[in-house]
Amino acid sequence: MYKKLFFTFFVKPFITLVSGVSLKGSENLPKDEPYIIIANHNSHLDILAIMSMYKSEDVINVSPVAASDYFFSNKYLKWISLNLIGIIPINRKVSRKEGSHPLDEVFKEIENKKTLIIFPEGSRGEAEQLQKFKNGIGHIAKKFPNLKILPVVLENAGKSLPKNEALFVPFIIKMNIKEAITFEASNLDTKEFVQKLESYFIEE
Amino acid sequence: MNILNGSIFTTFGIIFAILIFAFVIVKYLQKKNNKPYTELYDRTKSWLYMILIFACGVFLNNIMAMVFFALLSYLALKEYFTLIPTRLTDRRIIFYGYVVIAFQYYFAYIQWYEMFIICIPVYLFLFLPFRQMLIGDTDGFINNTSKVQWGVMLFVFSISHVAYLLMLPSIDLVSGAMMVLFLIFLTELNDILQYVCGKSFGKRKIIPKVSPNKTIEGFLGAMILTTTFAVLFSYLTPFTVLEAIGAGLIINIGGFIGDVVVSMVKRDVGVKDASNMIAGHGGIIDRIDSLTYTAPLFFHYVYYLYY
Repeated sequence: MYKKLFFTFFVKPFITLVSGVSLKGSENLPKDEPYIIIANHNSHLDILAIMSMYKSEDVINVSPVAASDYFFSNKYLKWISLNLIGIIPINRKVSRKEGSHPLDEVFKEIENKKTLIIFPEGSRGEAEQLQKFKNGIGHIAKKFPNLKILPVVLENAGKSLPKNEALFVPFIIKMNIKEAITFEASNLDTKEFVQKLESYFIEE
Repeated sequence: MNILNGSIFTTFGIIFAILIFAFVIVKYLQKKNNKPYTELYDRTKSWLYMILIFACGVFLNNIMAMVFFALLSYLALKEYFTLIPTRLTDRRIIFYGYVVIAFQYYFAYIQWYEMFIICIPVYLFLFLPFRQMLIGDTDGFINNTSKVQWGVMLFVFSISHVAYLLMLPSIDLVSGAMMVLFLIFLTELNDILQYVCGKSFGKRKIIPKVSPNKTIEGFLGAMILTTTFAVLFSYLTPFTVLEAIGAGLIINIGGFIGDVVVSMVKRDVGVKDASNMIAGHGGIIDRIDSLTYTAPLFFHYVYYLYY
């Protein structure tokens, strides 16, 4: 409920008018099936920009996977993350325990037919620079080999609102939606698959 | 409400008549040649939306008109800063480039002429290098500071002249709003006429390196037609026939120069359109490029003659 309101009255007007997005490849968005969006991560604006692609009735089913050690660090941020953005928390710091997997929560949401946004770099990097992808996305892909993975290349968000900066300076955020791929069709092992995903972002 | 002014209302009537005529021609072409003419159709349709937004944004209420033009400056400036290469260290001065929009349009609104004229070229231009110096990144200081200054000059300072023109006190029965309609209508019409004349009987390229589609014939054809229209629509202005011809020439030549100068910016960074915001037209910059030259030139022409 809050998420829908927040989205309609804040995210959409803010992103389209104040910040501005230019979208390429929207025909590559899969229809009527869940998928995973992977994107490069340079700014908090990334999540808002990606969410702004959706209509307000669809955005409910789109959730970013985010680190609980950062977003749950104080109670206001926690409330915003859970109620307005609807993040799926994962803990980056926890070590693997017997019988449980750090990505269990993510697996559960995929089985619930949610569309997830994952930033495989793990955390926001220096503005407009790509960090090495973490292997988590590879594990997810291997577990759900037919799930479509949609690379979305973001540009300029890191310039608008870089890490460790509070001053927002408007630039039009460029989003380039690539063709979706699946683990099954790629015929690669987990490591190579992650590298292939990474290559979508490097050539830019 | 300026829209209820007889001359403005009539002129919008004429504009919509031209637009309907354009739609009929597009439909006729589609039927005759059995081609979809998607771009032409999109362009005409976008014109309809733009004219409606322009009419509602500018001629209902003066404060709303200020917000409208300020927003136009903001969107154009944002497109410009996105287009050109900038660095993270330029973020602070770019921010002040945006901030000055509010001041500039406020000075236009309260008609504080001196401040309106010097706010950007004196205060902002002196302030930006100072702010950049505080950051201390010496590499590329001259280039990057000038880039911001140039963008603000074109898309804030120039465009804000339309806002100042709108707020000018009436002479006889001619209000500022009427002259704004005259200026913008003729500037956009001149763009279209250059394109249409060039397509119809253009042969010799006028500046092949910058704009391969611009021809001498298109330029001269538009010059004759725009000047004629300037005389026909001079009921929106206090001009005599001779002065109207002068205004037509200013809009024709200024519009051409603005168009190709902004083209230079786009060629420099290697794109055709500044963005894809308006279907068939490109970005905001592509639509108001001519206005960046015609607005200040026309404004000072009027200001010299009548104020």
